[in-house]
Amino acid sequence: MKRHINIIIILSLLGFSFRFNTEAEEYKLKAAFIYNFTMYVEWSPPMSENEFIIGVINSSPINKHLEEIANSEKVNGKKIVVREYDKLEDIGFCHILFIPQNCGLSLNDIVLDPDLKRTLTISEKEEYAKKGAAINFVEIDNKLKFEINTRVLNAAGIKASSQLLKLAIIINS
Amino acid sequence: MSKYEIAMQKLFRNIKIICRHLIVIYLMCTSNSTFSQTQLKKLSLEELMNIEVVSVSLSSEKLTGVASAIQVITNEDIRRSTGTRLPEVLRLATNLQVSQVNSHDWAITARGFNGLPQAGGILANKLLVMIDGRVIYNPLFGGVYWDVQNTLLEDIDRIEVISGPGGVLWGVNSVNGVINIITKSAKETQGLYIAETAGSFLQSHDRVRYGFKISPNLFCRVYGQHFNQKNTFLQNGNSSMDAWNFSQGGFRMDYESSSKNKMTLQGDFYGGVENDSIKHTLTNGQNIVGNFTHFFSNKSNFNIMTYYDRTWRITPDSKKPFSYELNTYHIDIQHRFSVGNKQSILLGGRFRYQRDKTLTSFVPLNKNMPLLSAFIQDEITLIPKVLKLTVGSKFLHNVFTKYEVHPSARIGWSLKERNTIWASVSRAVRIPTRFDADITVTDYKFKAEKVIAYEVGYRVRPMNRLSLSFAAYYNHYDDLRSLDSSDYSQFPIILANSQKAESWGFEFSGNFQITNWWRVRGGYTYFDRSIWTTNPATLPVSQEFESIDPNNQFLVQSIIDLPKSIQLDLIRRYVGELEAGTIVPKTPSYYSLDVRIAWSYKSIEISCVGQNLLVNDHCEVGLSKIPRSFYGKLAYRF
Repeated sequence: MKRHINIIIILSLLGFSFRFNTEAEEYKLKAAFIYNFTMYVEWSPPMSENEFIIGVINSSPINKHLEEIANSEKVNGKKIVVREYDKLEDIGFCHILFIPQNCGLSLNDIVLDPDLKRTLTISEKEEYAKKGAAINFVEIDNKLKFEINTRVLNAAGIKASSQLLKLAIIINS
Repeated sequence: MSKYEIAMQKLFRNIKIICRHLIVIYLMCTSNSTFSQTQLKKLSLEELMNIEVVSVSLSSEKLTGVASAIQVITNEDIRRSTGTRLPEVLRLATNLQVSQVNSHDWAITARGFNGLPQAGGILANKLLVMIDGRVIYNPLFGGVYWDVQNTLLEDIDRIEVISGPGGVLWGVNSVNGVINIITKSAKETQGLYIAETAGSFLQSHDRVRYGFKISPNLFCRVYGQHFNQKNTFLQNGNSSMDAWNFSQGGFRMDYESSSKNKMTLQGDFYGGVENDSIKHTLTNGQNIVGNFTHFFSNKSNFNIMTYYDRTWRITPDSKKPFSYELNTYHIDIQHRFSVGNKQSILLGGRFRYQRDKTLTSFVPLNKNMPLLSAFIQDEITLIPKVLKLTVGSKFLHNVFTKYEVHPSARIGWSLKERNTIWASVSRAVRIPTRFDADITVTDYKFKAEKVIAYEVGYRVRPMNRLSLSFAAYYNHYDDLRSLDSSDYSQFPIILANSQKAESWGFEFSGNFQITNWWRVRGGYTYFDRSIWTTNPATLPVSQEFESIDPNNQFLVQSIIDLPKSIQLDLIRRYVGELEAGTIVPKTPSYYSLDVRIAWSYKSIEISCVGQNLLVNDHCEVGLSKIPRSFYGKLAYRF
């Protein structure tokens, strides 16, 4: 981390002008974040499934971006599958579940679903990390940050690397 | 491993890291264009966290940087309100003045000029109102027949309400404001929704919507609704006998062949029967709207929209039977593109052809009204992210006054992304309606009403949970409609343009998420005006014909999530007194309180609502008394 910063400083001294006002569509960015999370997270017991399943409740603009990633990338050598769940009863096991802002289901019902005991839940609504989602996207100064509820993570038996936790806003509740 | 090998490995790793950063820096330096998914997924979390978000839709938080007096009513605000129909829900935008006239009629305006609301609201003629781009004010009076505007509230994505002339991209009639009702896409409304309401004033309301997927890129929804609304009361306590019922159905299909092309086809049909003490009115209508957008990039797109709309009403049993049929054909083309990285240009053209049929009073009885307009707007970034200037003009040609011009200039200054100060000057015209030009047929040619509007505003988000907006304005109106006595033997009174007016006021609104279970939103609006005439022949009644408006009004909506999936929502409103005119008495000010309690279990939601709880009944425009009322609602969302 430190070294990265050093390199950026050196490069900027060499005359590179930094423009941090780069932009990306919200859901494109969120999909990239989700893919990135998979590299910093370990599920336990180790995944036995042949596929890496990312679930999304109802349709969300994120689906097409996740699908785009699924077409070209793998997680731990496993093919990525994106599933769309319309109602609570449809939700089966998935490694990651994305809970869109207006998904129409209550967060409580979702996090208590027995199929989702080992699932990394990711939401995008204020206070949702506090209310029981493992990771929650928040927008701060037009940039995307994320909160991690470490208790939820521990309860799901998911290990997050220290690197990930360092970048996150940690919530304990 | 030798020392030499370790050193080589380290060097190699460093080179790799440097290369990665070079890629990032290259992307950051070059990208005025946005990232593709392939580029994004290769970035590390730290790098991702430095990229700015472009939001797809406007939410109240994202509005901070918008340089106009816009208020947005979201689907959530609607769901948590007590409103059952579109006009009731519009009260949630506190920059609108909304008055219920009787069981079926409403008078709605922005920044005043609710002309004689007792007449049923049709003289509020300075608003542009659209549902998914389809214009719903009529060229007969320039007002909206609110009784036949019954979009399924569940499927509304948001309602944008702009007070003031808005930008040049808005169509004709956006003199005092724009109401833009946007429904959700078929993709966002998948599944079954059934809702049943029964109550004391809204007797019954049945709604059903079903959304389904035809192919992975093609979504569809169909819906239907029917309601029976009971009567209001006369001053003596007897029934106004204005009960009515209404049915509507429709569909919407959305096709997204890729993220670059979007297509929508939607339509509605409706019919209703309305009573009044001595007569009744039948209404029906049909419309179909097609919309296609191609995105060249995030900053450049092309849009074409076209629709056909027919609306019809008849009041057969009055002495002078009133019948009105309007057919509208409309096509609208817009192209947005960037010139360099400092200018974003919006170009557009519209053609609307309207033909109406009436039975009495209007000369000629049937009229063709082609309307051609074009606009250009340039958004110039003077200091990136800080200072933005928007200039543009609309040009139009209409059948009544030929050529008209609407120029506008607007400047927005953002400080630390949480504060925006803005100011604007615009000129707008209200082109004559059939009522203005074709009732008193004399040598006098009715001119367009003109306004020059000066506005300033401030938006601030002091913390993430709180957003506030303040707008103040001064409007100067010229050639305002008047009723003048005349020498014509056939028309002792003619419609002329002898009045002038000034209006001023301010709008304050806010949204505050106090805790994670309690949100409060609302606003306060002040309005005042002065109208005078330039012609001694103008009758005093002309003033109230143009404006009977309250000086003060406020609304507070409180939205509370209680434990065990219980919701408790309150709406408190105040509307100031409407002054007496020469032909209408004054209407006293009133307070009102609405309460909603809802409980949801899985996909079922049960709610109980009380409206206007404080008093037995109240008058909003001095004629019918709106009763205190209750209703229960059962909704399933599968």
